[in-house]
Amino acid sequence: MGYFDADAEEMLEVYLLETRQLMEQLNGVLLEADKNKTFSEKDINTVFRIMHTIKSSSAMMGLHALSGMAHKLEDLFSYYREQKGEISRIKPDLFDLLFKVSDFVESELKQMPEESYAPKDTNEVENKIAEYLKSQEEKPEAELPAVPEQTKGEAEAKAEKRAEPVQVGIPEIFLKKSGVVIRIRFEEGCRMENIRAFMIVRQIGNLCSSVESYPQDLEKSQQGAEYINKNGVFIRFESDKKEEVLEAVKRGLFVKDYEVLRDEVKKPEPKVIKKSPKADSLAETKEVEFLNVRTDRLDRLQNLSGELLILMLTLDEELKSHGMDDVREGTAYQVNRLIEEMERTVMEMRMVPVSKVIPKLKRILRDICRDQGKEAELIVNCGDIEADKSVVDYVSESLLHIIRNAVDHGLEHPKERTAAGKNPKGSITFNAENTIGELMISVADDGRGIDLEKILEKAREKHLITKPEEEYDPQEILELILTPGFTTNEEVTEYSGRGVGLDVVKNILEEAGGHLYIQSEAGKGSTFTITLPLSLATIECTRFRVGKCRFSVPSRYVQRFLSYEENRDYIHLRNDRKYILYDNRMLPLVDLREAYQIEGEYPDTALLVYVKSAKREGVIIIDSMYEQKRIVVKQLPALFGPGFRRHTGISGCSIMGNGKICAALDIEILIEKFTKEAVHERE
Amino acid sequence: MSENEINEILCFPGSRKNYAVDFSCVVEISYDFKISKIPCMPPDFDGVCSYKGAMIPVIRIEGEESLPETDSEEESRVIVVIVKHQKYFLGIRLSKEPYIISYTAADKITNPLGVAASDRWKEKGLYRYDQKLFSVIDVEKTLEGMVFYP
Repeated sequence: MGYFDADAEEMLEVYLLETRQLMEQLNGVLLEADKNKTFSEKDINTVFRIMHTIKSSSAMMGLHALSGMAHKLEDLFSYYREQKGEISRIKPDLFDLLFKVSDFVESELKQMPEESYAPKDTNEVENKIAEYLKSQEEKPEAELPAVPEQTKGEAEAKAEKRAEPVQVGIPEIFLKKSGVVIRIRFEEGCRMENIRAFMIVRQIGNLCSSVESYPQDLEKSQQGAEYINKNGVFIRFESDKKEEVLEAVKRGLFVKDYEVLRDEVKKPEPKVIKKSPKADSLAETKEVEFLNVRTDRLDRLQNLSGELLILMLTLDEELKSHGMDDVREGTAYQVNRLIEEMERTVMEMRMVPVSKVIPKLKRILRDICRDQGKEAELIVNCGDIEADKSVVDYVSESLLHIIRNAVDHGLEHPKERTAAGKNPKGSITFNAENTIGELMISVADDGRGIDLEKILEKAREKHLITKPEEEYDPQEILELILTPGFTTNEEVTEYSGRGVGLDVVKNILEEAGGHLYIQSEAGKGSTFTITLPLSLATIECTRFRVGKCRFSVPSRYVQRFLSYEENRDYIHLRNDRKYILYDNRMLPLVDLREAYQIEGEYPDTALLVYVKSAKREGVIIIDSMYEQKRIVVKQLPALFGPGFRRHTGISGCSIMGNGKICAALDIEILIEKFTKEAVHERE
Repeated sequence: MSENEINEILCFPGSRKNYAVDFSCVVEISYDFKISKIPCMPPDFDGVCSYKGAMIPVIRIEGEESLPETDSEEESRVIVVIVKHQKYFLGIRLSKEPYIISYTAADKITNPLGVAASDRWKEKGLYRYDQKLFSVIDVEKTLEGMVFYP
């Protein structure tokens, strides 16, 4: 058993969820306040409330060090609250301290689910907070912000209004039942009131022969939280230990007060009670409730729907081979439609906004700029684009590294920028868009750009040059920075230059079916572009055959089919590579038979498939087509090794209805690898 | 695990040479796998098969080059033994039915030249059973040395 006892273990999931949400909120407030060097009155109240909640819930979990640290910060913000009004011209020390606390809490939260978890010591941080508070209290009165009398009066009036109890009677569902009815009100701003109420009902459960609450289904209902916030929670219980129950209620976390609304034992009344319209509306709104669902359960559901999809392909094939077209086009077709709809629904459930990564990026940008004495702002253009949670996670890690690199290697110091006629404050522009079913994210800096000569020099030193230097075009030189172990930074810094940088990012992205591209112009800056599928689970694919091998490409890349026979005359050989004239352009022709040494020749009925991805385009010759289907692309076997994809352009496998396996092609790598000028980019 | 702790080995009788693996490395023996060609696999590999949703590369055991092609639409079901070491799975395609024997039932042969190993198969010992010699494959070393593009 780990650090937590059985009771705390049971509450850990809720605690982690709640505290993570609070930390997210705190980081948002801190980043904004850091930018303006000001805490508004609202910010101060928010930070105070967050710390108050973390203090109490951590204590409940037995995390006393964390609770103590939150208490210290609560004290600091309580002091600011007493000053009234906003606090401006804040020194960076306070933000450093607050971000340190935030990092500390997040690191603890990450480790808590582990069996080996033991709380870390918080003394150092607590002392720093106490010192800071002391330094603030010693400031002369004149330095503290003044609050206009009117505002003070308004605030007091508001506070009085808040304290006024709302008069609500016993809920109708309790009227015909016996037992004691109480109403509990929680402290203002304690959040997740429904969960607090649920915990109390659970705690008193073993003291009562019967216990129920209004609103019901407390643990599930966000609607309930709003109701409880306004009216309190009503609990009806039957117990011969009434005093003990009331004492437990009184001790409950965040309980402000409780009142006993009915103390006598009442026999159920036989008369029919009219239904409360309020209760009805509460029940109806349950249909649109939001639930927090564990991602591993969603992953399982997604795998199951993927397996169903594969089985359905097999069934379809079997029905076809047995001539059972009536079943195939009837019931089986309907089942297939339902499975596809279920798969789409699961996919939608997993979608999260890409903007979720922004606070992390802002934070890393702030930290590196402060450490390196640089100035930069993050300009965000990402709208409301959504992608699968795992895709956003992949992107998140990669982007952190790209931002680190941009500041570390790209952006100049303010003096250097001014001398170059640039704004002393650099800019990093984050763009996200959805193009042909793919997520495309670019991070562009307006720094010094990548020095090609320096890259070549370093590549020579590290023996990374694999062909005569004069054969490298500028793009190829640029891409040398994606080679494992490459770094041009003389000094290994905390943030980049460890030599495990962009090649790792590239590998991570390629593993998820994505790519990384670089563009750079000396003196003007660099742009790193990432492309990834919006979802990793199933992909609409076009499948085809060449000799005895079967292949698939994502249908979003397939633009057109052409007859090989009719277009044979447009194929040209240049420098031993095949090209085809298509739409007045010479496009690379990917001959899989030649590239993969597949036996046989293309039949007269062969087809040409024109494919166009985010950055590259080309034409593939195929023997014949299979149906276009939504398929589950499985990972390549571990024995193929991590370099298989890059060397062959094969990125995964899928199972066909007849049990045969189909190789998934990575169009970008394929065109790059098997055609002439490695990169044939579209404008 | 030492040979003393592992009791059984799975023997694959071949036309020219006989192989065996520790039974503890065997995940599945199937007579019903379909093998599909995937480009760029080494020439002694027949293709891949699907086992519980995962893709498994299938190799022909040395000396079994005469096995028929597997990838015709009509008939491509063959005997495959799947062995595992950590994240690596390998299907070994057999021409004859395998059988299990106990280490104690076989005689260990002392090889004066040391452990003979081919490029592909790393050997952990040579045994004799029923007048036949069996080369017991070191699955761990063999699979680790087999990665196509490390």
